Amino acid sequence: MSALEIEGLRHVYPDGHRALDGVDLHVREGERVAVLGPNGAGKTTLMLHFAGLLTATEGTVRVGGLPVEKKTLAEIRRRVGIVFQSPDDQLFMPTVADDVGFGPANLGLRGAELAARVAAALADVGLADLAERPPHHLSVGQQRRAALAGVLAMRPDIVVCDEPSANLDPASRRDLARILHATAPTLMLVTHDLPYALQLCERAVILDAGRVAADGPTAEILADAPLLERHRLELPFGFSLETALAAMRD
Amino acid sequence: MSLADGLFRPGDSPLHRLRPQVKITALLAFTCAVAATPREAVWAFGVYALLLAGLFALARVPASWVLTRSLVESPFLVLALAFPFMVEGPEVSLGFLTASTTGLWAGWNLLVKATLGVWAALLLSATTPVAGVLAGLSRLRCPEILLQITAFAIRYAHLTVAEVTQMRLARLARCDDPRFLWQAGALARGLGVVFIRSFERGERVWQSMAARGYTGRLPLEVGPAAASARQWTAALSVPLLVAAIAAYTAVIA
Repeated sequence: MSALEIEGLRHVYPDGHRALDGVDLHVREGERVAVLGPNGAGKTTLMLHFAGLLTATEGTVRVGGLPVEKKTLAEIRRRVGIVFQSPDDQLFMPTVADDVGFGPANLGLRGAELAARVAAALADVGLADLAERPPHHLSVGQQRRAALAGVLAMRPDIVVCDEPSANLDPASRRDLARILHATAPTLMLVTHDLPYALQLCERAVILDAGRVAADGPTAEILADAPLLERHRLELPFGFSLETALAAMRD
Repeated sequence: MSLADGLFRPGDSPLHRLRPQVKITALLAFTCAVAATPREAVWAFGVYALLLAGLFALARVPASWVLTRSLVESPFLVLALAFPFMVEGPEVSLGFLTASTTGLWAGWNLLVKATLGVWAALLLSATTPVAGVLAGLSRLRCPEILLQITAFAIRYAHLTVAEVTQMRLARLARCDDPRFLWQAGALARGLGVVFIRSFERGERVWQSMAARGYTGRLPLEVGPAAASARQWTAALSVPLLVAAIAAYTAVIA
């Protein structure tokens, strides 16, 4: 069963900038897909289309078979949970628990049912003891986990993360990877952090100049140095793909 | 302590434990009763001040904290001091100055009522976190749009101040000479940039809210639990006493 089907998606911004130029992408249920690409490739624009936050100039997006249209937006946004790049843009309620409850409350949950959802989501990301803190008092790593909890509390079918590893120290990065592994049903990782994509996703798609330039197993894509170079992507200095793959097999 | 925390002082006093909606109602009732007290009943204001002092002690708020935070009313203080010399009326001599008695009473009236009001508000802020005040107001059926605006203003004022501070540091790091007139140009340009960034952030905040199903109503009933009759009685006892004194002074006047 398809989790996400995108066909011929084009997006032209009002200033004439063509951010997406005919994107075709199919993601199966339970798949973990990394969307890779250099800065300005259209990754964030594509991600906003998953939840109908932008209106397509041309083409269609379907989530679990349901087309993204004005009348389906509420259900689409329940199915697709987006964790935005900057937690400051996402966490706005006075306490972490209130913020995590924002999504489920918008779905109509109230009282004990809402509290249970919030508690479960906070437990999933390991923030149960910070529920009553104001979000701006948390570290960046904790903020990103709180933002993820706010999305998990809506029980989404697809979790989409925009640059989840940005500004994280190595330990927070590892914690987040472990949580995403354990909690996300279908995962879309929008990033240019290639090792993180390898760690979390078996499939990778390269987006460049608004088109899908490559699509295949992450390990194979990352092994193709000329392909990466053509699209301004590169593995970090000193990173060994063989060592990483060996470590993942253990 | 940051802007978004307001003036809250964490603690576990009986005042901290009262539900916010009870404290907000008590503050409102207290302020109305103080405003209704005739200005000539000087002793009554003394009693009110003593009551507040007792409550501050109960909440373990030091007097120095209250006095420094009271500076917020200094513009009113200047006006109160100016009244005796601006208002016409029978004059009295104060050393080498002459002041009108009507003006003196008007100044006293403003000074004492504003000060008591500020102290009562400080008592609420010191014992209630900002989130609690908002939740309490929502419980008291304050219009939701006002609560939304306040909540966002508090949350993002904090971020904007942090941004302005960062930009100032970045300017200093590039050898900006922060003397008043020289700084003005860079500061104005910086504020313009902050304005544009805040505008763009507003759009991103909306996107991330819409992604979680926001359609224009904030589910703010995530508020505090109902208060018990005992809490209401305890919190309203002080304003009721003040109202009784106000009524008594009005009758004898």
